[in-house]
Amino acid sequence: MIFLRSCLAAIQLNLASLKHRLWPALVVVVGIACVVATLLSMLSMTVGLRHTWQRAGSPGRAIILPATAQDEGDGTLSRAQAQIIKDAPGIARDAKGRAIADPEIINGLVVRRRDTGGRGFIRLRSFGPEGLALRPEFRIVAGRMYQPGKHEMIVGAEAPGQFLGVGLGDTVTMPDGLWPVVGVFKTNDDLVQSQLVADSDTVMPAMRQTAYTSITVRLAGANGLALLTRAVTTNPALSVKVERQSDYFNRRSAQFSNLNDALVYGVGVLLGLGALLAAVNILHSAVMARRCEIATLRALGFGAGSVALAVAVEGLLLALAGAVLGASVAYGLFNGVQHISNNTAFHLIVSPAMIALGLGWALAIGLLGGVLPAFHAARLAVADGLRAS
Amino acid sequence: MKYLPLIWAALTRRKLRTVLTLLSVTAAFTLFGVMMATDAGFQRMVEVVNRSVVVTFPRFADNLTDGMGQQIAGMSNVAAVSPGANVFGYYRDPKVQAGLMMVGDEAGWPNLPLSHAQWAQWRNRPDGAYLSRKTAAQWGVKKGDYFNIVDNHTARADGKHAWRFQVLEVLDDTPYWPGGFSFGSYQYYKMSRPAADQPKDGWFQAVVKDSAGAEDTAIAIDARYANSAIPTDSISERTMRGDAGTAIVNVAAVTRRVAAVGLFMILLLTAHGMAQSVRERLGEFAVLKTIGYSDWGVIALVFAEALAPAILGAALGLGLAALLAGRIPNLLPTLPLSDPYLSPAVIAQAFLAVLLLAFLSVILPALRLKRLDVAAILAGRT
Repeated sequence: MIFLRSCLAAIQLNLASLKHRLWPALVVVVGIACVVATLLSMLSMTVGLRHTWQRAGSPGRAIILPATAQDEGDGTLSRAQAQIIKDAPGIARDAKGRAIADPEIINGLVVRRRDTGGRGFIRLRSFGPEGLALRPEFRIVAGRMYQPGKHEMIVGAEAPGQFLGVGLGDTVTMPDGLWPVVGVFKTNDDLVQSQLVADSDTVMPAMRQTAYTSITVRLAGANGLALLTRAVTTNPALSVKVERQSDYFNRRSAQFSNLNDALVYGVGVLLGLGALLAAVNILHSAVMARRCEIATLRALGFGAGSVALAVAVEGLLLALAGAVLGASVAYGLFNGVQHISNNTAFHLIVSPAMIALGLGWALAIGLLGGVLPAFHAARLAVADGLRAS
Repeated sequence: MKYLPLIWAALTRRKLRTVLTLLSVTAAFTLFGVMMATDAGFQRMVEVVNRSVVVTFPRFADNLTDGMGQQIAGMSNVAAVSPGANVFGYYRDPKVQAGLMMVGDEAGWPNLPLSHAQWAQWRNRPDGAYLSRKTAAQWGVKKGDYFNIVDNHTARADGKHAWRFQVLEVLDDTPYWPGGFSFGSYQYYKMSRPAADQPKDGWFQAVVKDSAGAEDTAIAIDARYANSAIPTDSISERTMRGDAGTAIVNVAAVTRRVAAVGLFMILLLTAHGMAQSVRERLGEFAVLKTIGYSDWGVIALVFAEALAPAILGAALGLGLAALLAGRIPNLLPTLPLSDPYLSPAVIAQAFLAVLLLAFLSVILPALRLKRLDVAAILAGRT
């Protein structure tokens, strides 16, 4: 108890003297803020991009892919296979008893990027008649819906900002000529909003394709996924896999974090090292400058432990202030800002979890930065300290 | 010269502080070096590109025809057109992807590091291949060796999947192909294909007369075939390379911003360190002034004190960066394939940054030294 009280008193005294050491303290705070802000700004890209992918998935839907396919555009499913899957149990049915299941075709089209004028790739996602029933989040915001059978398509609201020649009224080059863009749609602010959509039975012959690339279904009830999986994976006529749609997009979005992690954390560690050395330097100088004061405290009966703890706590508090400053700057500058990566428009995100990570990073710097000076303060010889002034 | 002992004495007085400053400057310049070298490596990869080259890919399927090549050759601003294709699969181990770029004639491929004689060799040895040292080392082949590339997607007239090549020469790597290169002859490719596929080409490479109009030529080619049975996808090689650097992350923006943040942090630290060091030694400076040192002499002394650890730290940091830089392509698959390059420009920038760092961190202490009230300090009145 006495130790605790003496610690508190030492900390109080330490902090009271902080205003005389304002500039050095600010250097530590701003240095750590730089580290946290940089770390969060880089992470905000990965997290934002992942989030945009994850939003496209719904736990109430499932996606069926050929067994060898990783991505929804990778493999092929014939019309016959599609029909077998549609008849499987576990799929929700509409009022007329038809399965709410939609075979889709994913194609990549080459377009010009608006920012660099270079090549970009936009996905043409082709729906069948059930495509809309599956996606309540889908709505037309300008122009009109495409008419099945006609050579026309609609565009996601984010795409015209990224690519040239895909806006309402533009024409898109297809293998059999130019298709007009007749409408603009919005979804759930997900990656589909950066894509083109057309009718699958119109696109298939135009692209000289004979197969779909995936099937998306609405699941019936809680055990829909289990029923559907059992039915289609045990059918010898099929070689497919079933994934909950939310799991699928979650899995696919992981590629971005894997790609960026080395860059983000490498930079975070190097910058953190710089800030750490700065913190050690400055806290150590502070201890040296306050030798006399510390020696007086020791002479008055404060223990070495409480004096050391006070120095360490100061390091942590400065780190905390730096983290708050850095996180606020990152949040203010980056959160919600629109960004384009990998042909997908998304909003940068500075999430609470990321702020917690930044906080942890900063506190680690503060803790490590405080240890050496604290040790030094604890070992200061009282007599030397008192003679120092 | 007479300042050197003074500077040394000042730096060694507070050894821990000097060492910590040195280490943090080293950390900052390591980051600066790695980031700027990545940026420079990428910029170089774009800069070395031949500005006259326009490539035309089929937009939907592998179905460009020889006739289209002749039509493109007839367009204004086009000097030569030559076909290209990839033989791509694996060498020995199915898990290790490998392939060759099969190239047409010399006039259409000015961007290849091949001499007239080397081009001519292909006439006698169409199955010959030129590999870069990097690629040859990866595949474990040397000049004169035969090797097979198994390509399951490109049909051959004999129905097999193996493409047999002989290494004609192993050439030096160039920044044009940071990951190494391997070239084969398009003639060999064409003749090995089934008869029905022989008139089909993988892609065309056009060389334009006026490189400023390269992008316009690309747009003109696409416009010509936009509403045809075989729409094309053309782009100048330079634009294509530049795109790689912004497709996933904007390399230039990220690397430069991070380098700047690192330098700013170190500026704060050294500036604070110098201010503190000067404050602690006011008496010493007063004595120097009393014995005849000029204002500027004293300021130069302080500047040199700031400069010494900054220069040493920057040199150490850039050295570490050079060591790390070679490993970056493996560490950062996000960034497009490019060899990080500590270019003279990056080293010059680092040197400028060091000078600026020392200068900025000395401004405030220098002002203080100029206003120094010698008498008051020597009398112990401050």
